[in-house]
Amino acid sequence: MSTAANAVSQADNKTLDALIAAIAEGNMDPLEELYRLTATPVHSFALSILRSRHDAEDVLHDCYLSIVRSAGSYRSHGKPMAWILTIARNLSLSKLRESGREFSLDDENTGGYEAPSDAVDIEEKMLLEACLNQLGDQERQIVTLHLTAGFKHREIASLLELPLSTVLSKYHRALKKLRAMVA
Amino acid sequence: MTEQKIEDILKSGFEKITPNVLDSVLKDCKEQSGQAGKIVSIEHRRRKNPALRFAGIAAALVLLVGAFLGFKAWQTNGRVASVISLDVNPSVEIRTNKKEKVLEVIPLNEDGRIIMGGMDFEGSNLDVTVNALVGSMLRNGYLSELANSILISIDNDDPNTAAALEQKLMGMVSGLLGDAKLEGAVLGQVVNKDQTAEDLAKTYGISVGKARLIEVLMAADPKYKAEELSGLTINELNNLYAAHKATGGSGESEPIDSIGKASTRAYIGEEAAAEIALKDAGLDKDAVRIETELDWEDGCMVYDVDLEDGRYEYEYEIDARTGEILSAEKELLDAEDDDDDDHGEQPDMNESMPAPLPSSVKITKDEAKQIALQKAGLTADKVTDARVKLDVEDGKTVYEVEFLSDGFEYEITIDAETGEVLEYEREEHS
Repeated sequence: MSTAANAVSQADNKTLDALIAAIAEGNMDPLEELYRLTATPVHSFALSILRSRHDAEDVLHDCYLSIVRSAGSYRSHGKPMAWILTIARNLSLSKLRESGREFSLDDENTGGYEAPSDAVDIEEKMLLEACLNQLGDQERQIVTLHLTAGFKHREIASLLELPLSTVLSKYHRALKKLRAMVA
Repeated sequence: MTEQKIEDILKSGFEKITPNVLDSVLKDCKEQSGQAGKIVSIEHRRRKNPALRFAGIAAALVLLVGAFLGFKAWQTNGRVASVISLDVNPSVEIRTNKKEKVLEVIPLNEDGRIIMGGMDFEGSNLDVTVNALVGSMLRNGYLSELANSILISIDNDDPNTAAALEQKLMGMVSGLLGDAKLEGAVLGQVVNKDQTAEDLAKTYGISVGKARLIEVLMAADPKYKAEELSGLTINELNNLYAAHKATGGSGESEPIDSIGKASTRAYIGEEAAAEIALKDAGLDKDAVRIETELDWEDGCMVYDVDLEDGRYEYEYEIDARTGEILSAEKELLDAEDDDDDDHGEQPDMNESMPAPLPSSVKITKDEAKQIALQKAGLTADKVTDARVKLDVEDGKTVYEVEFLSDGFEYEITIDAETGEVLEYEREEHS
């Protein structure tokens, strides 16, 4: 996946809004661009909820189909990324329900998430696995949203329906934990 | 390893493990290109319910045997042919046989139990039963001028019978409400074997009918969450449904039939909401473009009011019942030049935050806090956990003031140079 570095933080809302509007008109070309700009946050967020490579890939796929279907009803509140990630979140949660899991997989059942060794280097693998296997549900989600979608703490709070102060403290606690793990 | 380094490594790690499914998305889009761009309520995978298939075979067998042994009327009379659910906020399910005799009435929630009182409907006609139940909803105040919506959902294997029943009951209930001098809003639908709705209904303990209405709303706006919507009354859902139909809707034939308008009398109304926003923004009605829509956000019915005066865009969320301003945002319309975007850089959590230019800080922390308190209509002794932080947002140096008061959390962003309130947010503290 050749996502340009920091593609998301460069993509401004107007670009995303324009892409969604073009998709709503039945034009499929902008979908490629939208995908390029947003696939990493969508996939990472799904992975942080589901902790299953297979399920997260399904959600990634379904999310863009859903975007195409719902683009016509999208009304910009200047928050296209939040809209996209809300779709990803709903799909992930229904995936959890579908598979009969109340919460995400726990390590005992699966041995935990394993990052694909051929895609990442050893440091990345270690941190991804620490992040997805060792952090709490909310911590994982907060960290991925902040790092991959570039969400500010208040945006994360509103997407996850958590108090702002919780998001802030959990983010910092999560980073401390990660730091201790890789020390 | 520094936290910054950890963040960087995770960022690149997440990017690299993102699989590329674009081709398969494009392929699937082409396959449904007939529908691309249209909003269809979520396609229902009509999985055959094995139990029902079995019931079908069993029914066929019974009929055969019946033909052999002489038809026994009670066998068909005891079988459920239609399931009719009535939702207001009380939800009840009525099961009838082919002859529209009631086999049982099941309350689906506490309010449903209340309206049923001690009434026993077994063996009654469907019409009599619906009449009694709607009467009880009126008497108990569940149907009133403030909340006039009722949803009637029919499940019958024969689509013609179901549609006829829907028409009949909608007409009847609408008449009953009229007799009670109430301008009612009646929604009707046929919900044959809608697996998605059945799953939703099971998960949230609501009727399949209400689940389907929620499903339609969620298809129209993916922001909605089933767990939240399931707690709303039909009147609230009907209002959301109407709002979505008004802003484009699906263009398809509407999946739900509707008579009358959902009551908005419990709300302050779009005009009043717009006025509140205009007053707060200090703008004149004639000088701005106004857009108002009823919506459900953060656990309450709100009016989303957008104002645009050519230079700024204002976004207000106003409590639809109380008229209180729940959040207000003001953004420069022409935002390209100053990287004004909600998820551009996020200096507020990074250590590498650009230092605020001292020259752009003209007011003190205490002043910022005073401005914030004033905006919230509070005094210093009424709030706890106050925090004031200097930050750079969208290229501007700002104070972010946060505090708690009376179970609410306030976040107020103030221009550090002018003292202007740029953002105001108040939400319930959980």
